[in-house]
Amino acid sequence: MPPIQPRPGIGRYIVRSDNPDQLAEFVQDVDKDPEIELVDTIGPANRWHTVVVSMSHEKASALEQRFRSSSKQLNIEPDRPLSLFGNAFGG
Amino acid sequence: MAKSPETPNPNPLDPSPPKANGSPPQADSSEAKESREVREARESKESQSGERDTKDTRSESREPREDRPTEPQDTSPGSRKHTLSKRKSQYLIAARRSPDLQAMGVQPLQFSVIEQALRSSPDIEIVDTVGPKNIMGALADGMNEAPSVLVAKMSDQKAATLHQQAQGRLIIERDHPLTLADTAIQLPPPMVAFSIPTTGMSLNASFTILGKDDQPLAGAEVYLFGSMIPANGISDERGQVNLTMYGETQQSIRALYVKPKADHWSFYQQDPEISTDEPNVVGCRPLSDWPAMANFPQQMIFGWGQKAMRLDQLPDNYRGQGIKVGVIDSGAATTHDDLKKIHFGFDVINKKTHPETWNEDTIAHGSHCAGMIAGSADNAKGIRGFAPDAEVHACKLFPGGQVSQLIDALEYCIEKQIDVVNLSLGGAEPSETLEQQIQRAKRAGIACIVAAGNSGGMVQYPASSPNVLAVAAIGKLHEFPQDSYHTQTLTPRIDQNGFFSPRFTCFGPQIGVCAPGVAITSSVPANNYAVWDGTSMAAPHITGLAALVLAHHPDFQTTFRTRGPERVERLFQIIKASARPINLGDPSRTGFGLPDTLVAVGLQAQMGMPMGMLPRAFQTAQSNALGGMIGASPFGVGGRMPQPESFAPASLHPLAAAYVEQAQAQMAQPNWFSNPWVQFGQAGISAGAAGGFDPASATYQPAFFAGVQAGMPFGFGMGQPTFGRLGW
Repeated sequence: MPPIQPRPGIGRYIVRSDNPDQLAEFVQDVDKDPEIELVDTIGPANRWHTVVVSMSHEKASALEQRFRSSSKQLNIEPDRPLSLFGNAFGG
Repeated sequence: MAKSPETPNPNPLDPSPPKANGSPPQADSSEAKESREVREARESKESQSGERDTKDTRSESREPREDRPTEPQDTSPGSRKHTLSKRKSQYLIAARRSPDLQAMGVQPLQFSVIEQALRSSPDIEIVDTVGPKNIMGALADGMNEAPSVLVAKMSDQKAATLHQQAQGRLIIERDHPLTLADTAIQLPPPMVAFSIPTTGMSLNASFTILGKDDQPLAGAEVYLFGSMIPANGISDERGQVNLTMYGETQQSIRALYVKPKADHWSFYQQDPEISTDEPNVVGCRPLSDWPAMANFPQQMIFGWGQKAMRLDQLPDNYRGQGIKVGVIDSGAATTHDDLKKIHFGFDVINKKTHPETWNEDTIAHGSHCAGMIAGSADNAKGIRGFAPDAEVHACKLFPGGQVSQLIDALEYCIEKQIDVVNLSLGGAEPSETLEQQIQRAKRAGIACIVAAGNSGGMVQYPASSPNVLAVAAIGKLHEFPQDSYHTQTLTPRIDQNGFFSPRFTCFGPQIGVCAPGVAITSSVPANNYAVWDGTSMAAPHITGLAALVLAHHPDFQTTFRTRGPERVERLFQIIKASARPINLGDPSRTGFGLPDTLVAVGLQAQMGMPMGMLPRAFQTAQSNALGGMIGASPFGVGGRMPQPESFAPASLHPLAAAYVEQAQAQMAQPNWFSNPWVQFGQAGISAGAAGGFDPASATYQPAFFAGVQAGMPFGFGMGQPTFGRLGW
């Protein structure tokens, strides 16, 4: 996974589904959509449960609406940063 | 700048134990004076001879001082002349004119008398006198005397002595700097720190950081705190760093903090006497100066945390063999002697280019955690980890870790059939996708041990997940020098054994257990040691313990041998059940308490109680399947039932009191102790049963019986794990 470089208006998002077929279908759609970049896939080979994509926030919002209104079990959320909990100011 | 002869305790919660003669340390005591005289004589001798007797000084500086473990040693590098010290504080002093005192026949002291007395004291500097400027002020004063307030500089110790001697007749209070009320909200966030003013009045100070044998310490982080944003820098090869602060004066500097890169204790000085004319020399003590760490790291030691959990009493053949532990962190530096046995890992950040660079730990955090979990016991040096024979897999996620990469790291752990995962990390918000992956990991038999967070607020995610074991941090008095930064983590929550809840630790009903997380020594690259604070340091204590439990507790050779969520729940139960309650008045900060290694691996049910003496039901598989260890049996081990009704809720913290009241109500129900799981049907080892999230009711079920009953007249053991749905 390449180092994350923030771009204005563009963010990384996680899309997950317990249904690998539905997620594979989503990935096929991503390949056809120039506004979405597939960053990574996570899960057993060809049976991914999670994909990481990069797109505009507006696009992500539209996708979220689409997922909600469809019967597909796809979740999308921003890929947020994590922090280490060591060395609480210095230690 | 000479070291002040008086070294007042900057901490109102002075952890210093009494001296050997039983009297508390007194800065004005004869011993202190003698020490000063000895030092002056030595310095005079050095001055005359033109050189310092370095050999003698080094020898003296390494000598442990068991009688005063938390006081600075006069001969440590940082306490010689030119050493930075605490500046005298400024106090406001006035006569108390209390009608109550006058009713008792105590007349107010005359201002002239006070002033004369203070001026005659060589260690008090009168800075100013404040009084009415005109007749209106004099009338307002109400007395035929002016001025009415003295401004004087003195040590905190001197002020305390003065206060005591005045017997209530003097008002003595520190002269606090004032700030504009809206300063806080005008502070720029760190990412726009460049916008702070760089013109106008500035304070320039240079620092020289010295370590063992007065050698310059490179790479030490130096922070200078004023009224606004701290200045910071890193010392160079000569140990030097220059700091500039704008809009500050020497008097407005609140604190100096020096954090060495490795092998030395941190240094913290409140109200430092900063010189702008000459370098401020700061000496950091070598770790081996601390009595409990003499000859470290040449000689292997158990950290105070390991000893508090009785790892040092575990038979040597209990080493976690056969268990796989994932450390999802910043990597693990296999250059370190204690971490050489780590052969597996995965660099998630660079997985497409260099997945093998997991052993390059640029920020040392993962190495520190890995050392606590599995630091080698074979090299007879350094720190002994909990499970040195466990197979560690280092998943590198930092710097720059994101939720997606944590999901990826957990995927690796699932593929590799890892048994326990240490997560000393977290995020600002819960993540549904991460939660699904944690559940997936749990179904695969992976136990996630997660640090609660360091924000000092509510438990952060993923520690707040019902599918993990959340670990809060505790500290212990007398386990770090008084002039180290660790003192700043102290809070008034201290129990009779010196355990305290540090100010940074997150808290909440999700806390499963607590573990040592203040002044924790462990491995850092390349082959060094550092003493750190954080819930990140607490979690690895429990992760290492979990590896021992899985490897050695009989349950995991039989009933719970098969990987799956039941095994994970059973592991969490056993760890919680082994915990010694830490009575800090607030169970949300300590959960079930501090787990005990001997109890957790099944060697003891209670202090000094061999496993063979346990009631039979305690050891039966059926009992286990029903959470038997959590059921009635442990109460029987101690020879008596706990009696919550004898525990007055009114004397407790409100949250703790609520638990006790709930316990009393439930104890009144018949058969409650005989089968505590009946209310959960057969799901005796569900998350809800263990104190977690009950999906049926969608409420959290706190599990704090042992924690609530901290201080009760029974030692180890664990009570009814849930009192119903309090749903904090």
